[in-house]
This record gives sequence, structure tokens and C-alpha cells, in this order.
Amino acid sequence: MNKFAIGTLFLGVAVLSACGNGGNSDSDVAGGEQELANELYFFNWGHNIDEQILADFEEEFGVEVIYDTYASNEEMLTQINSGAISYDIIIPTDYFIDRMIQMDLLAELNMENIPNFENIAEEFQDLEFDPENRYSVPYLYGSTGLAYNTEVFEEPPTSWEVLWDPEYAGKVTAHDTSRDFVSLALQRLGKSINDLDDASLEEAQGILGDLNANVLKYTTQPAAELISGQSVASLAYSDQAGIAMAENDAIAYVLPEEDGGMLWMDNFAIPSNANSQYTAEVFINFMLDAEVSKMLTDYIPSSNPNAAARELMSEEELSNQASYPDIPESSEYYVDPTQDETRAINRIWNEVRAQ
Amino acid sequence: MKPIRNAYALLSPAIVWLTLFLVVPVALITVISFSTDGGYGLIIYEFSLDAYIQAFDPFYLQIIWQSVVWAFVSTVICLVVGYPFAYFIAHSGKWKNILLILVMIPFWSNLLIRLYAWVILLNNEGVINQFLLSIGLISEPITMLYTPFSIVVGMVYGFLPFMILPIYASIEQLDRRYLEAAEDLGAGPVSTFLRVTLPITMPGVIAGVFMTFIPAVSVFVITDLLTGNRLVMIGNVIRDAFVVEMNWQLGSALSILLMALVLLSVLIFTRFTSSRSKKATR
Repeated sequence: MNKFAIGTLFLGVAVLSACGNGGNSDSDVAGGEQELANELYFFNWGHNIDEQILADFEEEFGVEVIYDTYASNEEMLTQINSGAISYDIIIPTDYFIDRMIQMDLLAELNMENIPNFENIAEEFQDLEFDPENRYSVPYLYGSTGLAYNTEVFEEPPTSWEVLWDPEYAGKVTAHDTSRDFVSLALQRLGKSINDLDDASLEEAQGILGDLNANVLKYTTQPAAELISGQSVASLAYSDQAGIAMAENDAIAYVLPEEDGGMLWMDNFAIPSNANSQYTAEVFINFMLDAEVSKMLTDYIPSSNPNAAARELMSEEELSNQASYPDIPESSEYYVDPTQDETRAINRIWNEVRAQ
Repeated sequence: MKPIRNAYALLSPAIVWLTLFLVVPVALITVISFSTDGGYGLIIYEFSLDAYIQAFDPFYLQIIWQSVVWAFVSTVICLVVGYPFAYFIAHSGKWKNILLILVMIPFWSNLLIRLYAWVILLNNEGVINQFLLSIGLISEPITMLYTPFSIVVGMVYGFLPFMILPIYASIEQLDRRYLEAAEDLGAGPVSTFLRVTLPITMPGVIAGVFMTFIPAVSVFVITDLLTGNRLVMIGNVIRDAFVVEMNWQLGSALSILLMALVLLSVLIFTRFTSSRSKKATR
């Protein structure tokens, strides 16, 4: 038996997943041509659309939609960079729009083709990460707040402090994403989540050890622990909280009033190397139609930035605290960190847990 | 010569396979690890040692060391459980094939799914705790999930078949006449095992140890699911370097470092054990 062969084969398998390439293909934008393409390449987050909507679009416009999904912004960026497939529509998150604009990867939108943009509620237009919406249009939004058990907390907690409380040791969860982890500490210290200078990060790291000692597990899907009661308070995306609330009446969701919590927005954008920018703009306009947009949030537990769609919703839907919570003044969207800041944040996340 | 030409013809699929799936990826990783960071996963093909300067950080070395320790513990447990297991299967006559299939059945489904089953088993409200509570053996649930204990459970469970199968193969091939000869020469069962069976089946043990240790040292899915990310393993650090930091250079350099370490331990281990087993059979 050849021991080396077996050993080395495993090495081979282990490194396979890391292989890829970082090339870039030239964009080939058809100039001013206002004709629908035969196909639309749509790259979206997994579980982020009712696919019936795509079928409706295909039927109405005779354009075939080729639909692919990704699990993270970074994964999407890697695909776009590789140029293997030229997508017409992508759905980056807020801070990622900023990054992709900086990297020259997004096409400027021709708003004449997207008249339904006016359906977007004013508070969601012209946001920091893309002033004047030159490159992006809101798709869905949500928040990152505190899902808690009302049998334990009679009043909604007003601060992340409950996650630090030794009384609930082993009964709280936080996200396994380094940025959210560090943001908890920053907000608890009364700082902005975008205040990432060395001194602030150091101060944040100083109090994260105690949080780490309290945490049962790190996950972005705490619904199961909340429902079973193993977690009495969890950092949670609003849609995860929504899932937990639907299963267990004792669960509630709040953006902590003192600290604020985080907001996020997924947006339509068109890569600069798209096959057909016009088709993509027609598609965005279709998606912003009140009826279509309502169909989207009937299916997805995220919140709808489309004012016209909201008018079609019932009082009950609009009073759902997971989808439409009260937003404290100190709530913020993420601004894209520099690469050094990203590394510093990730370093803190590793160091605190490895202690 | 014709036979030699035939041999190459027969080897060619393996050579192509090895080149495509071993040589090319490792070469790519090596190249990236020495390339210049263009930011957000972009690779500038200019020589740079920057990634290695980042990788040779006491913090990462400490995490690598920790991962080696956990992988080692799991491998030892796999060996202690796996050897008798393989021995038993090899001597179970007509049940042999059925037992072998049972060992391999878990491979029919994805490790991820099987790990979720362990979440259900080890949970505070899980099957094991509920059972122990109901028979009154314990009065409070034992916290097993999201502790270092659970990573060992996950790794032993996930990689045990990799230990059993090669050891089984070598025990199965063991020529019974050696055992008869040992008995004739007055060796007792213990002595026969230690001085005949074990040395002859050593290649199987070595293969099993590597096939367990190597995936165990670079594991990250098990850490995610069974320790709830409370433990930091080098596999997770490498994954995050690629997908979160988009620092492909650092991820590649750490991968190369880990591979070098594994290769080194393979070399030391084989030299050590093969010289011993030769001595024993002499």
C-alpha cells in the first residue's frame, strides 16, 4: 500500500476548493441600443425571490431569465471578477455597493428606463452608500436587532447589554460574522458601527471577551435556539426573528433603543460588463411595480422599501415588528470598511474566541 | 519494451487525474501565496513575501498548534476504536460484507447533514440528555454541544471509517500461516498480536492515521456546527481569509504552511514506524 499516495491525494482534495482565478473580462456594453435581449442573467442571494415572479417576467417580456444564487457578497464579487459569466443583475448589500462603485464594477443606471423608481419610499432613496441612486435601486431591507424571550424580559431590552449579562450566561447567541460581533461592542460603547479607528477597535476588543464568555453559540440563524428557549436573547436578522416569532409567541424583536442596531439594504445593480443593460433596467422597473413588489415580500420575510407595495398591504402585515420595527435614531447602515479595517475586525473576532 | 509501454498506458488516467486535481491546484495556491495583493481578492502576479510575513504570526502558529492537538486527540481515539473494530470485521466470517457496508453507509449522505444529526443528539434538549434525564441518571442536562468535547465527537464520528477501512484491508490480507507459525513457536495471543499481527498490519495503520489526521487538522464545517464557532481552528481561519477578508494571499500562504507541516509529520511518522515494523518482522 502506498501511504504517500493516499496522504497526498487528500492534500489535493483539501486545496481544490481554494482554486480559482482573478482575471477580468472586458465589458462590452451595447451603446444606446434599446432592444430587449433574449436572455437575462440574474445573480441573487439564495432564497431571496418568489421564482413565480421570474416566470411572470419571462411571459410578459419574452426574455428568458437565467437565475443563479450566491451565499455572500464576497462570493458574488469573486464570480464577477472572474468574468466567467456576465450577469445583468446582481443584488449587493449596502456597503458592497460602495465597494463595487469604487472598483468600477457597476454601470450607471439610466433612470428613464426605471420610472417605477418613484415607488421607493423617500427614506430609502439617496442613501449614504450610493448618493442619488446613480448605481443602485433598493430591493429589500431589514435590520439586525435583538430577538428576545418575553417570558424572561417583560420590557424590551434597550441595550445590547443583556448579551453581556452573566445572569444569562450560556443563554444568548450572537452572529458568527466578525463585523456584527465587533459592532455590538462599538454600539454598546456609544460609538458608531463605522468608527473603525485603532483606538475604537481596541476598546471594543476590551469588552468582547466578556461577551464571548456568555455566548452559547455563534450563528446567523438563531431561530431554532430561540424557539426551543435555549436562547433567551439573540442577535438576529429581522427575518430570522420573524421566523422565530411565527413559531413561538413568546419571542419578540426590537432594535435596542439606546444602542440602535444595524440596518441593511439589498439593492439591484447592473455590473459594468452586463450583456444588456437595457434588459436589466426593464427588469428592475418590472420588479418595482407595486403588485410585483408586494408578491416579493409575501414570500420573503424581509421588509419592503416600496411605498406603493406597502399601500397594498394589510394593517397586520405592516404592524409586524420583525418586518417593520421602530427604528431608533442611532441605527445605522454599514459603510464599506477598508481592507485593513476588515482584517483588523476579523483579527479581533479570532483573537477573542481563541483566548 | 512492450510491457513497460502498457504500464504507462494503464497509468495515464491516474497521472492525468493527479495532475489536474493535485499538481495544478497546489501550484496555483503556491503561486498565489507568493503574489502581490491587489485588494479584495485580486491577484497581481509580482513576487511578494508579504503573505508569509503575515502568516508567520505567533497568533496563527498558536491556532495551527491547537488544531494539530485536536486532530491528534481525534486520531488517537479513532485508532484505539478503529483497530479492534477492523480486527473484528476481518474475523467475522460471513457477516464481514454486511459489516463493511454498515461502515460505509454514512458516506451515502453528506457530512453536513450527519453533523446536524449530532446537533440533535448532543443538544441540552437533545436525545441523549432527555434519555439520561428520564432514567434519572442525571438531574440536569449535561452541556455537550458547543464545547471542545463536541469537536472531538464530530471528528471521530466523521473520520472513523477512514481509519477502519485501510486497517481492515491490511488485517484481511494477513497470511494466517504467520499466526500459526507464531503459535507453534510458543507465542501466546498477546505476544503474537504485538510481534506479528501489529507489525505486519502497520502499513494499514499508517494509512489510517494519515487519512484521519489530514482532514481533521484542516476541518472547518465541524467547528461551525458542533462548537457553534466558539473554537477557532486553522481551517476556519483559512476559510475566513478567503471568503471574509478576501485576502487570498494570506489564505494560500497559511494553506501552504499547513501542507508543509502535514507533509513533515507524514515523513517523520513513516520513517519512525516503518523502521520499527521492519525491525519487528526481521
